[in-house]
Amino acid sequence: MDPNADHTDPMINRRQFLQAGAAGTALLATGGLTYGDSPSVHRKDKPNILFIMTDQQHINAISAAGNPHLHTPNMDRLFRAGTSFSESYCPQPVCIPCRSSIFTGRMPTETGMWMNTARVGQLEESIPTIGEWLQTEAGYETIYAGKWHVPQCNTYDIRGFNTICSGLNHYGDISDELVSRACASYLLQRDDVRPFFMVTSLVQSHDICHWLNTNVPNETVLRYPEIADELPPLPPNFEYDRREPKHLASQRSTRMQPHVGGWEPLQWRYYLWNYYRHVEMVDAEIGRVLNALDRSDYADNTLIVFTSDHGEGMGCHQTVRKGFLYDEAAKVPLIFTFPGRVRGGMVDSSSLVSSVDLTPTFCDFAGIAPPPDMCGRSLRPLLTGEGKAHDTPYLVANYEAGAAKTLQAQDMARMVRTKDYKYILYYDDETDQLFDMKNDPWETKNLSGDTRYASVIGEHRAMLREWENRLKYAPRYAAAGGDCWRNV
Amino acid sequence: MSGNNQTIPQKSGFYMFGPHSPESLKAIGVIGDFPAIEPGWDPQGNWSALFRICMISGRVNSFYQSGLLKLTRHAGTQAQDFRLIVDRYMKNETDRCHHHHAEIVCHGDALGSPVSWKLTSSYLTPQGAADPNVSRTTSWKDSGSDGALATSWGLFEAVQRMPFEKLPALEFTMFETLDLPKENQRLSYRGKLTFPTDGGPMALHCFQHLGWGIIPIEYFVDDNHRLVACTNSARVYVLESAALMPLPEVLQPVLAKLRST
Repeated sequence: MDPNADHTDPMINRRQFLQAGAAGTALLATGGLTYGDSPSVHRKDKPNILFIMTDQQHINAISAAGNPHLHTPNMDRLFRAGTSFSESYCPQPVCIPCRSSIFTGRMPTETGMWMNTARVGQLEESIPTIGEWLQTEAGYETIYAGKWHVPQCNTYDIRGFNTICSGLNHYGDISDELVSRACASYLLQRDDVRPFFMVTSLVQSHDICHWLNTNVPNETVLRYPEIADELPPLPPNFEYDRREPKHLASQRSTRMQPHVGGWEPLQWRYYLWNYYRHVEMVDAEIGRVLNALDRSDYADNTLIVFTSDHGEGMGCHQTVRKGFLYDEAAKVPLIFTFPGRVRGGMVDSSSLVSSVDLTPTFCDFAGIAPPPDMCGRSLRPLLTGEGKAHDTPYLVANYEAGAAKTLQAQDMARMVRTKDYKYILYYDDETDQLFDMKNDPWETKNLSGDTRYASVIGEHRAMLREWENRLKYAPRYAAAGGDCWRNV
Repeated sequence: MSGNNQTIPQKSGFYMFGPHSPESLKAIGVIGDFPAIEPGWDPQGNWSALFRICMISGRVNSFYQSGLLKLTRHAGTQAQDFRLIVDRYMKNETDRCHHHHAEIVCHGDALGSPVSWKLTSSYLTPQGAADPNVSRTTSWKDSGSDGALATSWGLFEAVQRMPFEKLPALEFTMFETLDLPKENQRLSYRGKLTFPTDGGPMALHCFQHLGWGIIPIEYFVDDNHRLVACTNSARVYVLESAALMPLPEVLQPVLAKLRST
């Protein structure tokens, strides 16, 4: 392609421009749009896959999911056109570990990236990334744009991918526009008959971390009084059961946390208002990519998958950011759309699903077996209504703070989620947590001290032992002391 | 600022609290004093302005210098129109650059509403060539009025023509970086503040911008209506001639080029 050629879009008028979002919605809903007459881009057995991932997005931070405090028209169109999951969890609610799992289908203790520091080393060589797997086993073109963080935050050297644009440090405010624009341009200018797997990895709403750094002190007067009526309410679980592991109390009292600043309700609500603006920012960038897909040759044969790497505290249990196993950090939005093939307008609120299910699901849609030793399973039967769905009785998520200098495992935690309960255990803390998720979905009452639930706790610990003994730990994780979980 | 709360920047060891403002940026060494205005400078006339773009996470000694923005205004032959030329360079962690070049024809109304624009987005390889797979030129033309419109770069120009008065907010849809529409935007005068300079306190005026899909933005103009800085909670634009931090090496030839054109 001649870089000096003018790839000029036709001049469009204001009305068409502003209605681009609505047009995109219609196209997704009908699912019947075809562009051009290129049979090579319409292979049912090898659909294109567009994987869009945000950072630090709370599962409820989507307006179509019933949240009136923000406007996310582009996530909404995915939500309404596809199948979303309300019980979807990340494997470890912090960047490097969960991203290593998302792109391999293995737990962080297996990928070798069990801590959120680049000092933990590189991805285990023996474990393929989904990019490598789809390239070699299914002939996909695999494209990456944006934040990687496995463990380098931004790099052009990503195993199994052609990187078209890396991010800009950890600033979504600047980075996301360049990433979404690169993806949009690539989709509109692509000249390749192979199916593609494209990752659009956006940083927002992670920029809330910068906002928190700058806004620790409590303010009793709103900086912008005009927004007073727009401030969201505090969450239902703002008040919490104080009987919790000491790690959580310690995390709240660290220097940059709201408790240090003595936040009162007004400041908490102002933080929520700002957080939602960050989510709206990334929603707009997602719209750029979706609109480009709609206008490309690939609209009718592309599976779109949307998720986030982990969640965000959002004032639940008076937490911010992530790094703990309450649902606000451990749950993530997860939406699949594929008009005519994935059920539309569905919310699956009963299946327990995890980000480790993504790799086998991608492989299933691509018509190939997944890499060996997958921790998750394909969600395709749940999405299409075809075939036998595997009913997962439980799933596990981790947290490991670790000592950054020695890399010895510390502040290690596990979460076991079954249909009815959630059990959280910190290895070196005698205070564990059990929540009745059917009757107390906001996790407000810790039942672990109630002897009536001793057998429930015993069952969950047995599940955890079974799970940990199934995993193939990375050698350096076992050497750091992590294999203690096999005998919990 | 009379009638409004003004958070005094607080330096607490490693961190700088409070919204970014020229005063807080000077306190942490990002900027010095602003240069004297050019004689005859007129916000309605021909001018150019060069800004340094920084990202700040709240840590005093941790900035990410990400780029340069040059705006050039050409007053139109028709009384109420003008052209705005935009050149923005952003660098990433691998020292690759992205270049936006835009030519926007604007109405001379309060918001500098766009009549038409052409945007070339170039992802530059380490060798400086535009990557053809992701670089692209797009254009747009307005065909009718359906509510107030502005462009994000156009607002840098528009605030320089706004009066220093508390008036009802201007309400509009914004085209961010020209092609990302964001509705329900509001721009209004926030108030006057002082900026400590070596020559004594200097008056600045602040305009605030709120809306869907943005975190609040504040624009700071001097008594001559010259824009000197623009901030949100993470991103800062400051006049390049006031920036104190050394420019990253990869941007130095870019700066030389922007200064010469």
